[in-house]
Formats: sequence, structure tokens, C-alpha cells
Amino acid sequence: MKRLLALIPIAVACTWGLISFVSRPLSCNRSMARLQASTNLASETGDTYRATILARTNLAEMRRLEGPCRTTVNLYVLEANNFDVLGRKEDAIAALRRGLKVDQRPEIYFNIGTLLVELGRIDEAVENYVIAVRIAKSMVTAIPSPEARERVDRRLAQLAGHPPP
Amino acid sequence: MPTKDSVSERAEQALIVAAVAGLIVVGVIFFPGLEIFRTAKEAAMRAQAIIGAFAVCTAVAYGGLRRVREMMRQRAVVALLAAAVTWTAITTLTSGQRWLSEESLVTVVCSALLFISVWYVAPRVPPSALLVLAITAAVNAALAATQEYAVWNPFQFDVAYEVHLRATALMGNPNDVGAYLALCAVILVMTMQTLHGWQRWIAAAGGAAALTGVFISQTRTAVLAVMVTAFVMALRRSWKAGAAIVAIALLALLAATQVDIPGLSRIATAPKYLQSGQWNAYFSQRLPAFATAWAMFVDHPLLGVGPGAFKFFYLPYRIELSQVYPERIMNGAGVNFAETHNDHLQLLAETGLPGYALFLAACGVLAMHSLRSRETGSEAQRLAAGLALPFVVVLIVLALALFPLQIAATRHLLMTVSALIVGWSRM
Repeated sequence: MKRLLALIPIAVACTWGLISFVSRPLSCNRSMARLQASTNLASETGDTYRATILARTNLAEMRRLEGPCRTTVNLYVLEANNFDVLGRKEDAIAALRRGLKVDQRPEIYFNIGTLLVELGRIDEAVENYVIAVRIAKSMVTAIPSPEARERVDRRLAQLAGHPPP
Repeated sequence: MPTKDSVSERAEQALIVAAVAGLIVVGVIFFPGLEIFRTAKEAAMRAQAIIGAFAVCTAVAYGGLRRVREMMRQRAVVALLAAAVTWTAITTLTSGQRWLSEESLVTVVCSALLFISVWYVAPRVPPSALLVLAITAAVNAALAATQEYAVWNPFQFDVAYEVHLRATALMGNPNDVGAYLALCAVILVMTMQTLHGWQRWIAAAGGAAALTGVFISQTRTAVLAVMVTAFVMALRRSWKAGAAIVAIALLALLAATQVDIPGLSRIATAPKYLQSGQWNAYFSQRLPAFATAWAMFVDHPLLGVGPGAFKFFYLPYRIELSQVYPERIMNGAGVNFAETHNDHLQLLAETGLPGYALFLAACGVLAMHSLRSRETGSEAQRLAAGLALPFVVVLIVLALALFPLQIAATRHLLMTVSALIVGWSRM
């Protein structure tokens, strides 16, 4: 009986371990795949009403996942995409900045830059683009604003020690 | 009501089944999701570790501490296990990115639990248990071949993926396939030398499948690791055997400069690339990752940046280093490296010098098991003595340009087989 009683807390701890460290990552990974498909649908559907409903549903589920999936950077990227669908660009930028606290990926800086361009904050956008482009040079051509692109090119030339004419 | 002994016996049987089943399951498991291979394998490894820990506790509670006392006599192994977990916990506390480090701490604790659960029951696991690797090796090698040669691929990939990158087998990436199969090849070849009769034939067939898979995966580091390990194994027999392996390798490389031989041709082009200064191209654009890891270590030599935190600090270090190193070194792939692709450097960067010293000490302690005679003792003892050194050699070489400690498929194999070697050698 004593042995059985001693094993009970160990069994409880192991069950907690299985739920926290085995089941949660798996369910997180699965939810992320579903959310990605749903986010793509929200972005691509031409129906504004449907896109809004999908984005709101996605965001509600993502809020629930922010605890268990907090180290999954894609969660923040998808969150930003859904905020963008709803036209909440400030919230989208905030989500991406939360993502940067987990993984400083160049594409996240790039996306922040693009959202800032859409908000007309070119100076801030250029700062973010420069960080992204210093790792992934090919991204320069994808900058949507000609003004921002030109300023990024100038900054890169300065950093390389070749001031532009 | 079951007796004390029967409960303990059942717990130990469960551990044996888990140890053997784990080798198969982790080698083949996948699960639908955003990432279908690595996450599932990591979950399977953790599940085995946690269930194994409970089974060990049950066996100890009902069967007594006799086996634990035997294990405690291997002080170096116990000290290394305790030190690895403690150091990971310390560096997690001091980490620059605590969330990521906590994930790594869970992985390290689970790896230690897995090691203990297999070690506990190792004396009762027969060497023939390793033959299950012949199944996983054959399945993965066959699938990699059908994917590489565009015959059949059960998985769907983005159209932008080139055919070679779609040869994931059940691992997730051609490099993971190469690393896993290189380890399987060494284990099965050494097992073949110990077993007899039909078991030897199964080990030989599995080893051949694994070796073929290594070449099909075209993973240069895995091919190199197999070559170096073959040289070390031959050298243990005689210097003539070692010289023969070197001669065969040189001839094969020479042939690979004329004819396209998967895996070898890419190694054979090394002088051409290095002479023309295309170092980064030859290293598959991994030099920026190596340079950033080294810089992180130089900045944090004692505690590192924190377990699992390399990927978080990669970008700022990379930007800073692009002003220090020439373009031909830093002009790499425009992506964030999640892993250094060199476990030696990643351990230095993330856990500092003590973390890396623990890794080297673990390799040393494991390799020491090869000092025992391979001619005397039980079958298991002879296999442990024969396998220990080649196993360490293949790991060290793989870790030079891959990350066998970071992915579950290879880490699970490393932990399980190391525990078996340690357990078998003191029977």
C-alpha cells in the first residue's frame, strides 16, 4: 500500500508531463496547420464578410494558443495576417513584434516594414526593411514602396562603404 | 493481488518493450501538422522517456534498489548525467531567451530520463534487439530512393522544392536521413560482427540498406562520417586494414571526379571550390551560421547565450559580423538559421565551454567502453566493446556539419544505444 501511495504523485507528475510536453506540442502543431489554411482562405476569399468572420474566428483560437504555442513564431505571423485582413494594422505590427521576441527572422522585419508603409510611416519602415535586407538581399525587389526601396538602397550603399552619387 | 516481484517484473518488461519499440517508432513516426516529422518524433521520444521514468520508479518501488546501486557504481556516467541536466538548468536561468531555453531544458531532461530508463533495463535487452534498426533503415532508405529518383512520394511539397529536397524519407530532410542512416549503418555493421546465423544476415542486410541510404541522401557529412568510422574500425584490426580503407576511399573519390556518384561527387569537388575561394558555396552557405555561433561563444564563453537560443541571436550577430568577415564568407542563404549545422559550435554558443566540455567528456566516457576486450565476455559485452568507439566517432564527425543532438530521430538513437553500451559493458 505504501508503495502504491508513493507512486501516485509520480504518476500524476508523469501524466502532467505527457500532457504538457507531448500532447500540447502535437496539438499545437496540428492547430497551426489548420489555422494556416484558414488564414490563407481569409486572405484569398473575395467575400469581405466571410473574410472578416474567418479572421475573427482564427484570432479567437490564436489567443487561446498563445500560451501553449508561445515559442511557435508562425503563430504570431498568422495572427498578424488575420489582423491585416480586419484592417487592424497596428495590432498586426504588435503581433509581429511579439514574434520577434521568439525568433528574429528577416521576413518578420520585412512584413513590419510593409505594414508601416501602408500606414505611411516610411522612416520606421525603412529601419525594418534595412534589417531584413541585410540578411536577405533579394527582398529589396519585393519592397512595395518605390520611395522606401530607394532609401533602403541608399542605406545599404552607405553601410557597404559606397555612398551613392 | 499481484506480488511485489510480479509488479517489478512487469515494469521491467514494459521497459524492455519500450526500449525496443522506441527504436522503431521514432524511426518511422510522423503526424499531420505544420511540421509533420520532427515534432512527432520529439513527442514520441518524450513520451517514451516519461513512461519509462514511471516504469523505473515502479520497478524500484516493488523490486528494490539493487539495480540502482549497480548503476550508481558507474560514477562517471551518473556524474555526467547529473552535470548535463544541472548545467542546462543553470544556463536556462541565465539565458537571453528564457522561453526557448525552457523548451531545450525539457528536451535535455527527457533525454536523461530516456537514457536512465534504457540503462536500467539494458542487462536484460539482448543485442539482437538492435536488429529492429534494420527495419527502420530499410524503410527510410527505400523511401528516400523512390523520392530521390521521382518514382513515388507519399508526401506533398511546395512546387518550389527541388526534387532532392523532397527526398525526406520519414525524417523530414535529406540531411536528417543521411545522419540517421549513418548512425544505423555503424550500429548494424558492428552488431553483424557480434551476432551469428540468420541474425547476422539481417544485420548485414540492414547495414547495407542504411549505407545505400546514406549515399542516396547525398549528405556529404554522413558519407564522410561513415568513411572516417570505417577507417577507425579498420585501424583497430591492423594498420594494413586502415591503409586499405584509405586507398579505397581515395579511389572512390577519384572515380567520383569522373563519374557522378551520389554523395561522393560533391565531396570530390571540394578542392575546386576551395581553390576558387567559394568556401561558403561548398559549405552549403553555412559559414555565416558557424561564424555567428563562434562569436556568441566568444561573447559568452562561460554560460553561452542559453540552450536553444542560437536561432534567436543569429540575426543581430549576423548583421554585426557582416562588417567583420568578407562577403565570400557571410554571403549566405537569406534565412534565419535555426540550428548552427555544427553541434560542436552550437554547444559552445548556447551552453559555453562547460556545456561543450560535458559533451566531450560524455564521448570520452562512452568511447572508454571500447577498451574492454572484444573477444571475451558475453555477446552483449562484446558488442558494447566493439560499438562504443565507432559510435562516438560517427557522432563527432556528423556533428561537424549536421545537428544530430538537436533532432529527435538521431538524439533518440544516440541516447538509447549509449545507454545500452553502458548497461551491457557492466553485466
